[in-house]
Amino acid sequence: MLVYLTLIDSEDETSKFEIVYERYKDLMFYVADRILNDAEDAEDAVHQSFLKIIGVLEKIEDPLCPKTRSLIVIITERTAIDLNRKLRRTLLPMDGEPYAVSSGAGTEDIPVRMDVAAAIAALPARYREALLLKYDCGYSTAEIAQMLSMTEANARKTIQRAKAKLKQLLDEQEVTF
Amino acid sequence: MDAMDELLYRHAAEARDLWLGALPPDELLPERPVSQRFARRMARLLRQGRRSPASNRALRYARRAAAVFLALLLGAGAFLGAAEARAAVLAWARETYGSKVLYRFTDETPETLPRYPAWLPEGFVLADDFQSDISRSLYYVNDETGKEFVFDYSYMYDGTQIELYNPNGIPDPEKLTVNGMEADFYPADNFSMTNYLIWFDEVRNTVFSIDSDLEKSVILHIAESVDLEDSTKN
Repeated sequence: MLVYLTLIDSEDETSKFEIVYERYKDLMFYVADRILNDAEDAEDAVHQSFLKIIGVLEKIEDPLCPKTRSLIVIITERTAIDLNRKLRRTLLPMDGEPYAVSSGAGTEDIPVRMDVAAAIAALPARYREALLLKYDCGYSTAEIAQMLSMTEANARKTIQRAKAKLKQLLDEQEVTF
Repeated sequence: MDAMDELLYRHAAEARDLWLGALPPDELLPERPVSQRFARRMARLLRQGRRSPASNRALRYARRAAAVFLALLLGAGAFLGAAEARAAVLAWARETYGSKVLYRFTDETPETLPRYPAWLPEGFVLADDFQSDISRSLYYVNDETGKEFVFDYSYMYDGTQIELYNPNGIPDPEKLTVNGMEADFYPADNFSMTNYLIWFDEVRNTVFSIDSDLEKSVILHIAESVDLEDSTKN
């Protein structure tokens, strides 16, 4: 039995977590399995992700909207990448993970395009996550820090570096804006 | 806001759709079996949620509401005897909605006293203790057998509710009593993996539960030993 105690104003709030659980657990496992390649580790990552999701549940307005889907995948991806790094002690560049490890969705599956959206989608995971949380979902730096398990100062720096990296990519692709 | 900010606001949603579009659609995602360990950990997530900032804020809100309601109750008490007034407002209700059951509470003045099981099965020790303003979870484990149980109690503030969720559907509970108090027992199934006993102290406005892989008779024995005394903590 999943049991939870709530002290809430409406029934909508109580059902949010179970909607998230039912709707996204398979997707979360898909993302975690792909990054970790180990069933037990993936379960740890998904469980930790649900813990983080509970912490930000009040910020989720519509559990079924694309922004929520994005948030769930970002949290799972970040948790799985961090766990992968911890378990395998992988040395990764400071400014983000290599593309092959970083994307739960698999950047190799994203169609090759030469535009701004494609450049954002192809950024290293940490950068993409921070930019989508800020500019698509509208979260504050403090909220992003909580979701990505980093300090607020680190979140701010990550966003700055992500913007610099995006500008570099756009310049290389000669995309004007 | 600089040009890069404007660019990001304009294209972030498209980037998100492009990135998420590389994932398989939900209907094509493989259904993944999970281990018993994972299922149990999911079942404990409530204890994490209780300590969230959201629940603390909600508690403050509920207490404000409770203060207003209490004032109304005191007014009503002028016309009703104490026992009648109490009976008029004392309330918990069980509601079923397919895969979930809600126990709703509408009382005002729980006695916030510490409770412990005075009897433990042999070999069990207290391994963890989570506490919030509205509830407490005591986690006991037998390291030799791997058996465990979680004893919870929560104060029945107005607006509090306990939700049981099981995607397989929630069966009607077995109606029991614990020291004369009404209790519902839900046996383990292939989702929950554990037996669940919930009972209600309508005098002190506290709801108790035990979630465990122990047998029903043992769970009941533990439940019947619950007391105010901290006789087993050490």
